[in-house]
Amino acid sequence: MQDAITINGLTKSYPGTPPVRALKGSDLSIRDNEFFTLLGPSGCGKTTLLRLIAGFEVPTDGTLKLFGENISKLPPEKRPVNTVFQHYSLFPHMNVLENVAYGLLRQGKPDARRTAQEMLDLVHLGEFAKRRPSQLSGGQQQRVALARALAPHPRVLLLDEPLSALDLKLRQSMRAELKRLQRETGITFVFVTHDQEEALSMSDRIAVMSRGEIQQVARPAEIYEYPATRFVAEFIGDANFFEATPRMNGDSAATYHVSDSIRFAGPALPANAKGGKVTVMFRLEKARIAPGRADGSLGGTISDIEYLGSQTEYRVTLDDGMSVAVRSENHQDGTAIAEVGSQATVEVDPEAIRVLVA
Amino acid sequence: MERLRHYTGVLPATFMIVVFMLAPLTIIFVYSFLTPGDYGGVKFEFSTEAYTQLLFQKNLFDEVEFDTSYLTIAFRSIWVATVAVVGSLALGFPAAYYIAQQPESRRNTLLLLITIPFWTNLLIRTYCWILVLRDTGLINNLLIGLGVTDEPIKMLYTEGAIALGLVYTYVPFMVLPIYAALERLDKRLIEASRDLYANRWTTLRHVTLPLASPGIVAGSILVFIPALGAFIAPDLLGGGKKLMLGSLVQLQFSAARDWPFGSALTMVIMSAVLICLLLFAVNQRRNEGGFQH
Repeated sequence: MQDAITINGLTKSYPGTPPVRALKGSDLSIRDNEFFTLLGPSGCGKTTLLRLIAGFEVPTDGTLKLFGENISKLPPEKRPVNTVFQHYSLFPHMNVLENVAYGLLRQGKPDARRTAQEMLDLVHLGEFAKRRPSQLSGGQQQRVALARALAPHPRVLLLDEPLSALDLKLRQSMRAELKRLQRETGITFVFVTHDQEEALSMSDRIAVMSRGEIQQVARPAEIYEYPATRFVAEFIGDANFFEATPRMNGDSAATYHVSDSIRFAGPALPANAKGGKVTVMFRLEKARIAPGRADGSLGGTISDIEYLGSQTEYRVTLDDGMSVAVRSENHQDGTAIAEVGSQATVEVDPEAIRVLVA
Repeated sequence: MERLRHYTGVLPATFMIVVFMLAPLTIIFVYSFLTPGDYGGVKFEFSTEAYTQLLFQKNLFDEVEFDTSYLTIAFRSIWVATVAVVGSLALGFPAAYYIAQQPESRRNTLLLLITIPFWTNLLIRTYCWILVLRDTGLINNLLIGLGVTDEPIKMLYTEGAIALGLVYTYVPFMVLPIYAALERLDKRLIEASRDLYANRWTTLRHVTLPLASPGIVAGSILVFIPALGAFIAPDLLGGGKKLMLGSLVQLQFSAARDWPFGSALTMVIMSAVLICLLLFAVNQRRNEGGFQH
């Protein structure tokens, strides 16, 4: 099946001294009918990439294909792609129905009004057709923006942090709504966000970006469980990181020496490791904590306890001054296993250890 | 105490309005109901003659007859002022649009350039147009020199010349409010329109123009009102042959020495303009308005 969007060596630089390279020669394929998320901190290039796809920016270099057709040079109005803008950008001088019908009317589609009304019904705003955007709440404006962008039935829908202006409860219900709309319309969604929770919960696949480069493209679980780089591991979820020297134990296992007293049994060194030190990591909830000390295990003094509701986070200062954090589920009444200042043992299974070479 | 501070706060504005607006208006209002003095000025005898004079004339037999000569002048003035508005809109909108598109650092320079003509006396600037437009003027010499025409084309002392002079004089009043509206316009709406299959022109028509309309209306009012009462351009470029309202009023206070009639004319013009503005404001409020469903 043909990919919805294919980019090759796509670059965007802004003039300046030195020039700002917002996107550095990226390659990426977004599949048809996929909920694809561009995730990263502000300034990582995700919005630049979205604007390049929409046609608001002209690439400095590289190609951009939509279903196999090179669209790098097409103006926005010639691209079968629509955008849901971060601040909605609804036309203030038109009512809700006119806003939704706008794209259809410009395309000269017959029955623009009727199709627009159907779109409004789809986002449950049918009875607000005659209102002005300024008479709607933020969440309603959001849904009008969605209906407006979906009405011309674009081949790809771009969403630029559409949920960032909504409050928490509304944001959560809109996630389910977006997912439903994507399934029902069968349109490829490209969603930009800096919110990892949004990305993990909605996406079929995620591209994590940093400083104009794509760090990893994978399914949400893979991004979380098997981060490709230290940036990805740090940006999504929380983890403990250690610099370690690997010692191979046969072909499928290795021991990672952090210091004389700290070592982790883990998987074999990845094939692309260059030798020397590597970074080992494990997620906070993958380790277990128990009161008291046992010989030969990882242990130290509890320096901080944070109650998080469903979980409790312990910070343990190891004997040689390094520190490690562990989260455990509060299955019972949430009472901590020990007090701050008492001794504790931390256990990590070899299967939970990840080795990062970048 | 709080109330006192409130009143002292509005004092300067009140002073301005009373001294520079209400007082002169009152004088004009009172004068319009008096009798003209023999050598200009007024005699303090009540009369409505100044107002009836507008539409009625006494003939030789002392009978009152309907007379349209002043109405003709009024309609001619409205026509020329309307042409001036359309002309300055045609020139002013593209100029304002261009300035608003420029990077911020260049906009102020360009706006300054727009206001430069104000630094020279209006009379002198209007005289310069005579040099440009007359039969032996710049344009005709050029056209004859290039062999486009043998005879000079008559441009000076026409209604077209008057309109041209008015456009030239008042076009900055059109540019500035339109620029203000365009500069305030959310550029992301333009992107949204382009995203929704509208090209540059359809975006201009469906998004930019409607959103700039408050500026266009403000500019049109700012050009129309002074153009209606202008007398320098009509006198110099129109040759005073075809009378305009502004010249007519000016005439009453100078050569005709009929101050009450001049005052009555002023009151009528001002009332007409005010009523139009009021109707417009009411209509505008209804359009933007409230919670209609």
